[in-house]
Amino acid sequence: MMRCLRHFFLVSLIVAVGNRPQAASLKVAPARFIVHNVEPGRLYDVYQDTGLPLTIFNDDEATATWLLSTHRPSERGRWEKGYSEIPDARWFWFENSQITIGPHRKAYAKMYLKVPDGEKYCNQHWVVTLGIGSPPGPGGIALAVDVRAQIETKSKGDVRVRPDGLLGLRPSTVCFAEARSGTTDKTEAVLYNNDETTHTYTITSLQNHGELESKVYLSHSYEAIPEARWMEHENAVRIPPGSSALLPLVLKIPGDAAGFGKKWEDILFVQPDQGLAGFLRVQVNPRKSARAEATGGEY
Amino acid sequence: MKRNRLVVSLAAGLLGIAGAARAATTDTITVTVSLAEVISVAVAPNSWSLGAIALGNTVGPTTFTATVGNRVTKLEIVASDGAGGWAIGPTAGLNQFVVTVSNPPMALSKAYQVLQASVPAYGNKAFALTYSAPTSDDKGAGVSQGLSVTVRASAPTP
Repeated sequence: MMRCLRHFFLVSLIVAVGNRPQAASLKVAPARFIVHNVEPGRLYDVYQDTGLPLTIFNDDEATATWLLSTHRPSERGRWEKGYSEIPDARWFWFENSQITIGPHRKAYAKMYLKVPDGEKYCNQHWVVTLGIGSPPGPGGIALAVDVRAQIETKSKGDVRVRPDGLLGLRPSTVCFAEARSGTTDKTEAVLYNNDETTHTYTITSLQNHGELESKVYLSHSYEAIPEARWMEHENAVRIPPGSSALLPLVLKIPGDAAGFGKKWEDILFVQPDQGLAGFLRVQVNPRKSARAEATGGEY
Repeated sequence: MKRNRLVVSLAAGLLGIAGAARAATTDTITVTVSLAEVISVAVAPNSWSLGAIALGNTVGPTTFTATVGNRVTKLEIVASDGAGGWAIGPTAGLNQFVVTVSNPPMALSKAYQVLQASVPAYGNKAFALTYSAPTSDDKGAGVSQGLSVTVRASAPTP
């Protein structure tokens, strides 16, 4: 008798769960985004400062409630090459931790960001994972979506302290703002080994990584530099623990290059022999040669 | 209005790039985003009715289809314990039940496992769930043992 009673309850409960109104779909936009130029110590309302909210769509017939949370990406799997985990996921948060959306409606989740003050947090490339999912509890089929936000703090060349993290770059973005074809331009960055062991760092262009989506990395209004080989750099650098090394960059745009009027970008990955990679963002605003501009010619 | 604000902000950031080769310096945060790209998952059917089941019995497989949105998507799956104290596990036992997936073959646990590493845009992934009840129980009658199975979508990484 007891065994039969137990079975009756089990059946009725699971059927009841199955018949509960459930969201069948979950849609979130954007799928990912990059926030550039975040200044440590400053509070950002991402919507107010950029116009970007996280939009959650309810395409179902029933009202849906979703929990919003932020996580270090290692809690949720892998993340974008070249980025480190945000040191504390609480530096990025939602205005509300829960959102309820009526059928066939959408809602906007406001996001906030504040990196603690301190020069060591300049020149950082981090990822934070935004979780949108069903509330906990027995609910039959539940849904969840992860959005990874790439957070890039202000690029500064004149910071007086070592960058945070095992691998540091100063600055994290370099710009060739007047790069003329047929000429040579130079700049440099500093690579820090903040680890306790010597590392050899291999430096490669985004264009050498066919497995990666360039749109994940390139800034808005920039396109990939036509030829990665126009940017000359060391292929490998060995740095003792606690030391640093200069990374000279030489840009040589051929005199017969095309594509002016567009801004170019390359991502130089810095991969240690052990550990996570970092990257240097290189931006180029190309100009025709002075002769070409004077004559109206191509070059 | 929102789009205008976004464009203004982006433009403000890019204006700060002029000058010689140097670090980018502006005081405004900017975003790089594709507003057209969404990440989504829809699972049909949206419920799982197991029907009558006895201790030691198995129900299923029940087939589900997860459909993704307009970008390549990674799908993962996880299950919860029963609400009344039954635990999910790899084998059925005392107060322990099993939920298996047919494709790829695996027993669900409380840690996410990959259902499909890369579903093409607008593609779908069919999978079947089978529930195996505990072989014995000491939680007593009248205790809810409902569970949830969660399908999670995210952008895949190489």
